[in-house]
Amino acid sequence: MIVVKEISFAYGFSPVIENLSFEFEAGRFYSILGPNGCGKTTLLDLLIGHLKPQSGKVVLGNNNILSMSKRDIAKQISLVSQNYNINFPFTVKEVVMMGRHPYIGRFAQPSSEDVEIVNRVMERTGTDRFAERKVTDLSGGERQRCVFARALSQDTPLLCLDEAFANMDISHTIRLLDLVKKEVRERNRTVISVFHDINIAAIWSDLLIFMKDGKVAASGETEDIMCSSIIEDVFHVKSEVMYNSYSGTKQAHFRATYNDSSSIESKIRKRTSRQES
Amino acid sequence: MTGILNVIFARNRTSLVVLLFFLLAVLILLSASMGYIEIGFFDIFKIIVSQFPGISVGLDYMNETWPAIVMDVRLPRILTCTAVGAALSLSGVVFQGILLNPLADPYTLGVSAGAAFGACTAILLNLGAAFVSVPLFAFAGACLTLLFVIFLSCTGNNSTASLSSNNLILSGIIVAAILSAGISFLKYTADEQVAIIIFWLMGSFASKTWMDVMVTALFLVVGLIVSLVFARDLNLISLGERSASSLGVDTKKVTLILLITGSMLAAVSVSVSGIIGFVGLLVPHMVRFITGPDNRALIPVAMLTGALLLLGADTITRAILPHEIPIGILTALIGGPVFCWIFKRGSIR
Repeated sequence: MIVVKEISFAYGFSPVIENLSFEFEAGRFYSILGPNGCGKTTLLDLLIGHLKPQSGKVVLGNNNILSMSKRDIAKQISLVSQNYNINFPFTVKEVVMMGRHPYIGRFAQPSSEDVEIVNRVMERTGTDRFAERKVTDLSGGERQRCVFARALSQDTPLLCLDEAFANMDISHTIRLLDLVKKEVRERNRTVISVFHDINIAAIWSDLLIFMKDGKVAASGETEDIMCSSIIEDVFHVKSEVMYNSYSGTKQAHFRATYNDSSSIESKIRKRTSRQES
Repeated sequence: MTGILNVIFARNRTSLVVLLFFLLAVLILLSASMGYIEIGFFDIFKIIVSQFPGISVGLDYMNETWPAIVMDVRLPRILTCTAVGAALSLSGVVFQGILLNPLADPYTLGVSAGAAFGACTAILLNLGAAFVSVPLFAFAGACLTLLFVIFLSCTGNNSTASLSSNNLILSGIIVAAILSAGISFLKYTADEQVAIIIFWLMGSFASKTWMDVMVTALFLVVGLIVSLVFARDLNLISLGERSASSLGVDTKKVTLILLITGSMLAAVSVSVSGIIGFVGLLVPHMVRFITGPDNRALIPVAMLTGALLLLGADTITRAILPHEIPIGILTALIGGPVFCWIFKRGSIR
């Protein structure tokens, strides 16, 4: 689907992505996890051709992404970005219709197909309930759903999500994740999503990519890669990873460490060592 | 009030444009009939019609100076004013879009300061004797300023930041600050010419010629075509560069084209008539309440509204007030309080 070949990127002199290679296959749900500033968003920007790598290349289909026109890329890749601020009072419906921009000729009106796609997406994302409201009057979560709906109406084989659920409540997070997962399964679509919540990522993702210092620290099927040693290596936190039957996947559990010497674990350790002696 | 207008016009933009066109035509005739010598509304109509070849209208009953007053004095001024009002509003729409800021105006990037500096230089070097050269110098000053602002905001080898709205606004503010210090210095050294400089800076449509009409109209038509071609891209750009880019807009290219278009409109306006504030800021802003932020509707409506308002203001200062006051002062005196009112209502969008 989309192949990253030995790309490197630096803002000024500080390298963000170093010699990273990866192959994304069609019909899979990928999650990118990693600490703040490890290059997740930059990697997405490189994938969608918004940034130019200093070396290496990104190949979409058979083309180098930098040789493609923005319009052609927009028919292949859509993005829900972290920044969903909108300064102008467009209505929600107008914003979602903007997702059809790459398909509509310069002076043409939206076709009946465009209108139908937009209506369907708005219904499925629940944004139809505030279709005529102005985006500047919406709450952060509602605006994020509106921008999400815009990306879906772009109807692309590849969907990139950059912390797209950061401001959404859990019910809408689940609703939208189910929606895109269904697209992945039924229409062979690909999703590449940056997450902060490891457990949410684990439930919906086929594959996890852990990033650290601009490199891929570990990647693979969620079942294989979800383990406490990798989480500790990448995030420097201790955790316990175990299979959870309700979610049907492995989940990581954390605990407060503000007073580690008096934690239950260390008390047990002390007691057992006393008994042994 | 805006609610009612919304209901009437939201679904029918064409009728709004037609209505504004009609109002503008009426105001042009009305304005031409007013002044030191009162000429009847329908006489103005007859005088204009008689100019077309092959049409003979009986003008015998009129004072024979009337056609000259209308055709050589009033109409050039009125039409220049109309075109400048439209150009400033259009420029305001474009700048507010590319700077992602509903409070930007045509002068945000220092184009006016550049034009003023050029004009001051021409006046100070006494090139003003041939009065054509002041507008030329002003235009050159505006263009050089624009080039320098673009050069400044393209800094850094990292491609995302260059030409971003923050970079543009910062560069514009820096350049404008330097230039206004330069203008102050020129005024300081200007001795008796300082009055000419100050009068020029305050803006005026007095003694405009058909040449001014042609030049401004030419820029306006080109500017209108370019901005209508990129109107939908401008909608997307106004949502942010990253979004626009992912929706298939070549943001760098479109931003640059629109930046040059908006700046040229502002430059020609300032060169022809001096610095006229608030039109480019307020008109797009007020019109957005009625049409919504979609630039395809905003552009034509804002242009016509800007033309109507500036012509109204110029007619007041020319024909109604006992003494003509500079149009730049009048627009600021009217526009400022209106802006305060909008601001206080909390409806800055």
